[in-house]
Amino acid sequence: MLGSSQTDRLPPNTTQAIDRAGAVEFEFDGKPVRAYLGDTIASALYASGVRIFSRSFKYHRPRGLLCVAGRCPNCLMQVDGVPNVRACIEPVRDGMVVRHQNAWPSLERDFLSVIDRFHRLLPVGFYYKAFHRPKLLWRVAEPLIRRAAGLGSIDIDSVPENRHAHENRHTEVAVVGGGPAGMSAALAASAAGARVVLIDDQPALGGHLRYIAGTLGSDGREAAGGLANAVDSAKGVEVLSGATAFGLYEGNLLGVVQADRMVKLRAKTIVVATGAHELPLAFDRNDLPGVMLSTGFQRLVNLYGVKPGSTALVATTNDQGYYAALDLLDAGVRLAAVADSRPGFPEELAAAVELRALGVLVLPSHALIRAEGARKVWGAAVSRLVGGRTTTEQREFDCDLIAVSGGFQPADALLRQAGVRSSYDATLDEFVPGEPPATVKVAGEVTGVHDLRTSMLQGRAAGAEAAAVSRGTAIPGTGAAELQAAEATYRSRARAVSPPVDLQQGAKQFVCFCEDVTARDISDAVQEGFDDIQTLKRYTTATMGPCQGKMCLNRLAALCAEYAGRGIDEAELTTARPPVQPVTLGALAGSSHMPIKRTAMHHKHLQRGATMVDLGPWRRAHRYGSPLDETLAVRQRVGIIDVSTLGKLDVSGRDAGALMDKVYTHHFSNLRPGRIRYGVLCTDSGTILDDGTVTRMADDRYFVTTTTGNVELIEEWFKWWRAGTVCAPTLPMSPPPSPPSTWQGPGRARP
Amino acid sequence: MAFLLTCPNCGERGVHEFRFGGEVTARPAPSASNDEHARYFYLRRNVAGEQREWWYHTFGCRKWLLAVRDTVTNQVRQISWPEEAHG
Repeated sequence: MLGSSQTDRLPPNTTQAIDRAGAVEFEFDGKPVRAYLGDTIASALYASGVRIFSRSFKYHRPRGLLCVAGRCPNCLMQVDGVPNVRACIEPVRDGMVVRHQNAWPSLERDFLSVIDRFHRLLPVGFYYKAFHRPKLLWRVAEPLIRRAAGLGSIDIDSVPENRHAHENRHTEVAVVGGGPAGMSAALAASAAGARVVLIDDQPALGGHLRYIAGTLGSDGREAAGGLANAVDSAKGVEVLSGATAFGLYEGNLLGVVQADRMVKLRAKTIVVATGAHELPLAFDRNDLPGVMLSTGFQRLVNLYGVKPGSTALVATTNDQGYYAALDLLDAGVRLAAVADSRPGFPEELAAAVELRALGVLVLPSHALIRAEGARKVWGAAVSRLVGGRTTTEQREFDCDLIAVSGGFQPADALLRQAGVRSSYDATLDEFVPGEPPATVKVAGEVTGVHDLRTSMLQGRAAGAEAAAVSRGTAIPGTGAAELQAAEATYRSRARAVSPPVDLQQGAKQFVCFCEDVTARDISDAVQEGFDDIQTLKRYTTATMGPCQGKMCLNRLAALCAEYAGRGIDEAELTTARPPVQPVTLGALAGSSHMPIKRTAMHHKHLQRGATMVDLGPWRRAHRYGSPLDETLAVRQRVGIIDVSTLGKLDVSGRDAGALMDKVYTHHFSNLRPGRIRYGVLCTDSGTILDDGTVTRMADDRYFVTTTTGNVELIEEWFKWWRAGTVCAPTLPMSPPPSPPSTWQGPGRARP
Repeated sequence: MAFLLTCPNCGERGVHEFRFGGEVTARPAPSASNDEHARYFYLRRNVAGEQREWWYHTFGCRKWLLAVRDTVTNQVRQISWPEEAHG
């Protein structure tokens, strides 16, 4: 058993989401793992001593946890036969079978990691250049490359049954995001009388307030708890928990996946309160297991009570690093230093002052330039920044953890899908979304403002506006002044500075973790002429992996501008397309439940030994005996066919005959009442649409049969002719007399 | 494609309830030249902008509608029964 003692757990506290009374056991690569109820696969594995969670896509480098939030590609695993499951957000279940991916024989020892040694031979876009000559080489190389690169694999023999149900729903206001802004918006919208659906991808409401500790955390949790209780008791607010809004389509249609169902939610107005994700930093060997986003550490420590290691170095570009540093200290982790790329000690930041008072080394104007280690971190090097450049004044630290906060990126993918353009804001050092369309509102950290009070004010305003837009009432202006003041205050003190990405010889500064693209690769690609973000993306495949740019898009945009000699204010982001989070094909396809239509003679057919066949929605008699038996029966005696499955149309009205003459290839207006004639239906250009019989019932009435399953198409065709031409017969389509059958053969006169 | 169409009978509905019937064309007289017929069968204006087009409400009232839609933005400016549109 892996680390069965669970010694890496911290004492219980109120932020933790685990229930220590609930024991769960699952299997990882053949070994049993003990976990608590409320654990995710990743938190349980980490607590059991696992540090390598995957092998990278191209070079098979060992990768550890990075985001712990289901955003990055570092913990994809095979769970009960399903590939590419995010272990860091997948709850543990008793008896689940978890396996690693893309490594052989194991994550610890992956033979294919030898590829990493030959990275020089496999530069960015190598498959466009290498292995193509002689011509035969590519045929040999391609399958090998495809096998070596990759994610999980599907076991075709054990594809689970698709249980996904599809649901179409409508609401006045949809709020995406269950953090303080989203909850405030939902409450304000419902207070204004609107029906609200609140979509949250976490197991419980609260957003980032669920996993932050300290004073900031306890204040935040109190506020979040109050909001969550209010949401629970609010009239007309429905909460979809653990539900991901993966796409925003035309007409305010949200694609939402929640467990085994996909909800197509149509909302009059949508409030996007999706928050922000933290970004990594691009230093040498920034992918070593032990390097984690600072919020990732906070989640591990505060939600799952996992002690991540013994000594940490914190590297930050903004205030967040200090909050995480305090949480790490509380968890009993020693701090080597806090390196802040901003100049000057942040005296106004209480967390920084507290850290200094506790004797923690804080290094302003310092950037992390290198992680040391092999398969896990054992040290880190920082460099003093002068004029925004790294210098030779460097310091090295021993540590087994590196917490990085490379700033935040608004989770703006849904907004960008709605046509909103995001642009670089130098004060915030973030790409912030611009003005949304009238039926989309924005609130919270997705606006680039990371302040609890402002988020709640934004949420309230957005919710009230959304309700007004949905219900066609006047937009309330109350609270606008307070909100503006709060936003201005935040902007006046917000400060974030990204450190430079100095290209060093042989450095592995990963920008895109999904596709193993380094800063050097991006520089090379720009040199080769791919200096536009759209072509750069396609050439390097950066942003095109499972995380869809959540970890790398900003860095890619900034580096693209820098290497192409443009200012960052000219940097552009790539086009955002659904899905925001990966969605299984099963969820999109939905389970198939087509009703089977039986004719009224169904049981008679079965009694007489017919072989049945499915044709469209119908299950009909295929044949009696062999085709030869059937032919002989018709030739010598009589053949009967059940034509219940054929479509029947009753075409009547003044100009019915004229219509029949137009749509069929020959005339029916000269057919005598009581007679039947075979006819072929063609399109204008002569393509055959259908065939069948036409019976003239009366002067102004025809009875038409169509082939099985085609009746609706032919009805539509007739109606189009009626709508589009001068002749306009009335077309009541009546249900057919049943069960009909036709008789053929010499014996047909005596049925 | 997920925009909404307002059926005069059934109200505002998702586009997936409808079948697109193509842009409105004029069928040439039987005596028209082969060229004219070929144009009618195979060529469309395919405008980037407003066009008059057919829609059939398959999962609704099963009637044909005429709409004026901007093919770039999918904004539907006008939608009516064909007999109203024919005047």
